[in-house]
Amino acid sequence: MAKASPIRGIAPSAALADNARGVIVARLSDVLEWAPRGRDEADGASLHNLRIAVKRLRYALEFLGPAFGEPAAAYLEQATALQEALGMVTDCDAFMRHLASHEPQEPGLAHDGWEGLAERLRQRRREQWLACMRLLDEYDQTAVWARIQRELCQPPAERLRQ
Amino acid sequence: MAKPWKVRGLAPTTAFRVAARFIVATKYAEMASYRRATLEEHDEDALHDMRIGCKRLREAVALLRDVFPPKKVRKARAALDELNDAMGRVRDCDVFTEWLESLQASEPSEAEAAMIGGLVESTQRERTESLAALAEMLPGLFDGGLPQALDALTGGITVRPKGRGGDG
Repeated sequence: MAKASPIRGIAPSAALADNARGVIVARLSDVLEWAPRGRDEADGASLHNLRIAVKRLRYALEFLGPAFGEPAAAYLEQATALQEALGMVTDCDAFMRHLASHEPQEPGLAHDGWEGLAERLRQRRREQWLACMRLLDEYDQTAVWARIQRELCQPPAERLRQ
Repeated sequence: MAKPWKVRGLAPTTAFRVAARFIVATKYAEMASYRRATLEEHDEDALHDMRIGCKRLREAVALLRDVFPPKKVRKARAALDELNDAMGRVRDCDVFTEWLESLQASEPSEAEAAMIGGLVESTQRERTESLAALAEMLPGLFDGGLPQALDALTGGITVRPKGRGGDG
């Protein structure tokens, strides 16, 4: 599992809002790092890392939401939806590992049954992966990550200047 | 899935150190509120909610670790990782069984049906063992290591959400 990027400039005595921006910057940068690689259908490890990065962003938005008010709630919903969709794919990968540990060694009826289940699982993974890609495309088209960066990662004064 | 408990009294101007303590204390209270139903009533929904609560608490400690002394964070994370892994093993069996059962309803071939039956059986055995290991671990964790490790982070703040029967 990829390590979370360090959060720079944490000042425990300073206000929640000032620190929360730095937290979201770090968590968002991890999502942006893994999002392109997570699109490779065959690269289960990168997709897993993308899911972890999105999960960390989701919880940062959930815990630190009071620092941002209303905008954080909508982004929290979007991060949760993406984490869940990615989780459906990583569940298929976990099922496949579990299934592989039960593969019959000899050809025959049991092996035919096992192969049938493996094929159904491959189909299910593809469907779930396509659903994830549709969600990622939607987030790209509606500039979700860029809006989080603009609305949650910059101090209010800087946002007003833009 | 149970809704996450709201952390009361947080405002943009709250000192980060204080906010971090309240977030961790609230997430611990949330998780611990499912302890009785999980341990004494063997309630499957409570077990699921406690697993989600454990995940939230684990993420809270990880996210806010820079605010707390590193040694104390390591101790809390080790206890939470142990609990999360034990709960995850039960959950893995549940989701795998769910998938197998969905296949049973989708007209499998004879060979597939036989394989599904065998896998459901072995997964159920695995689940029973994982659940027994979890039940053995929980009392010790809740009565000792975990609350102590978290108290060291929160300064002993106790959160009792309004209108809820939290027993943590």
